[in-house]
Amino acid sequence: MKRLLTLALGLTLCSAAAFAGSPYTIAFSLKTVTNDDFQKAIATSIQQAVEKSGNKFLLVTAGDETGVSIQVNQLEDLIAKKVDAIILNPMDGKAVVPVLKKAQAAKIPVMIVDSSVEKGNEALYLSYVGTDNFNAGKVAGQRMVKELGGQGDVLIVRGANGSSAGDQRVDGFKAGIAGSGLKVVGEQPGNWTNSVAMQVTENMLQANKKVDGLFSASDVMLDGALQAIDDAGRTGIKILSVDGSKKAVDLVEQGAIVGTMAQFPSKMGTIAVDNLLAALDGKKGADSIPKVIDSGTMVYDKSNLAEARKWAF
Amino acid sequence: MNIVSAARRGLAILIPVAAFLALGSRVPHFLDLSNLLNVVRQSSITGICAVGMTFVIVIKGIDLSLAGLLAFCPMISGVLMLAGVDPPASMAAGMLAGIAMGLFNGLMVSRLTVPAFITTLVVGQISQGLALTINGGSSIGAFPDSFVFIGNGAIGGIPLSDLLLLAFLALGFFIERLTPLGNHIYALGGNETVLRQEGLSAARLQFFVFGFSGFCAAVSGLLLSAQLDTVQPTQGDAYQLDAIAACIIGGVDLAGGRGSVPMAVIGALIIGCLRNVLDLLGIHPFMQNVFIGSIIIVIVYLSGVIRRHGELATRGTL
Repeated sequence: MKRLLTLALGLTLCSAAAFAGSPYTIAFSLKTVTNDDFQKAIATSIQQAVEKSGNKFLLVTAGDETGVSIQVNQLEDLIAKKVDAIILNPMDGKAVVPVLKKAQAAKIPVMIVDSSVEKGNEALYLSYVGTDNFNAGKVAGQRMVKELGGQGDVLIVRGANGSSAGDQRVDGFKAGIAGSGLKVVGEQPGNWTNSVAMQVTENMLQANKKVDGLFSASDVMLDGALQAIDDAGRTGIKILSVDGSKKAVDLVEQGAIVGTMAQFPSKMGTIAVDNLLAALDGKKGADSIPKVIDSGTMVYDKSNLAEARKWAF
Repeated sequence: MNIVSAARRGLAILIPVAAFLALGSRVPHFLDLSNLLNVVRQSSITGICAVGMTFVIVIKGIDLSLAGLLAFCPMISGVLMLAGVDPPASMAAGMLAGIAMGLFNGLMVSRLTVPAFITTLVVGQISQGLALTINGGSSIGAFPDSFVFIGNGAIGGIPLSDLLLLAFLALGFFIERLTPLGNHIYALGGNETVLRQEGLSAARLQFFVFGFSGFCAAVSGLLLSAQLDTVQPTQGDAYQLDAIAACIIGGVDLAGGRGSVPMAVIGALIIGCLRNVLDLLGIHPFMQNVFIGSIIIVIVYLSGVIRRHGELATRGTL
């Protein structure tokens, strides 16, 4: 116990020393960076941008894909700690609304990245920086129609339930195939993890003897879906995904998947930090920052592998 | 019970409390009144669950249905509220659902002698599945202001969540100490012969204990949803183990017969303080898990040592 106390005390003093003399403490709160290259790329770009500007970066992860309330508690603790600004990737667009009100009352500016906040709460944050997820899904849907010649049965591996980014991509995909002969014969949440994606894909393949295409809401679930397809001995299934990760680009090159709708996580982080610092320094009024900033999308497929390698994260 | 063993047991909890205060004074903003109220508010969910869990563990049971009930009960209330039913009636429906699920646990344990571990785990999964099904897996939110106020409002500067935790602490303490029911619950966990000699039914007690735990889970789930202004179908996951850990840290004996509600609530507050302090210090999230795990082990070890040295009493005291 005594040793534990000493250790904890030591850590307290260390961190207190680290705070001294830095103008702003900017915290980034998100679900997790574990086994998730996309979130890691956002976190790294935010960290680099914050530290390059001479400010202090603080990473706060909830550590559990479904721990919505853990993230909310952590945000409350950041407010109690009186950080200067928060960058937030919300795990649930609705559940963070009460805590965003508390941040506003404490005059702590918040920047939203990647996943969006429930509509109607735009006054609670500076700006949202992210991919237009609906559009990315729609482009994937249209591409699927083209790949399958306008006819066929497709499966969808969704994100985690309640995740707005995942829902929007799937809604976009369905909009993209609307009016064609493509039919969605199965859709299940893969919870942004390979193990779950593998399990739900196995189940959907079991239930559907004929499957022509599969849409995964994220590259982070591709390995699981591919493993399930491989185990089931199915071939010729056309796969499209969203994210634009290095892993997916490799898979495109090997011919395992058709393509991935690229997002630019590092751009997201940099744009968020630049605008936040401008607002903190008073160089930009909160009104002059657009409420939505699109960090862009592009299709990576066999035709642009070289270009894809340059941007993939 | 002699004074020495009471003092020893008291030490099990005093050492960590003293450690927190010592640490607290070194952590910027920890001892701010607003932060402390905030910590109690964050601990209220685990704390209310721990009140019901204490009795379950005292009768040598375990309740693993919390995670599911914490989402299922408010999901029912939430759907009703969004359909225009007024909040009190909707909340009552959610609480009834929790009690019903709890009584079902009690039925399985007492009449069909299914181990509590199995029946509650299954009931939890069923509740979780229903919570996901009711709204197609998505979260629902934007509830009436009066409901959100319960989770985020304050009376005289004290958050309603804190007051609710206090109310449940009082209710649990009342049952434990001031009713014959309390005595019978401890008898069931500690010495069943006494129970039989008095001609009391174990089944009825099991019904009550599991039903009460279901009720606590429902209230705590509703409170969580009021705090978040959202019902998220998996929102309960994080609290299942915390509620059990709170009981263990508070000295509730997994072997049954021993433990008290106030100590379990203190256990919940300790977990809450720990997470808050680590957040305030900016300790990396990966390291937080290491810290919390280590501290639980230290506390459980200490209380084990104290129990071996102390005399065996049939009931724990504050």
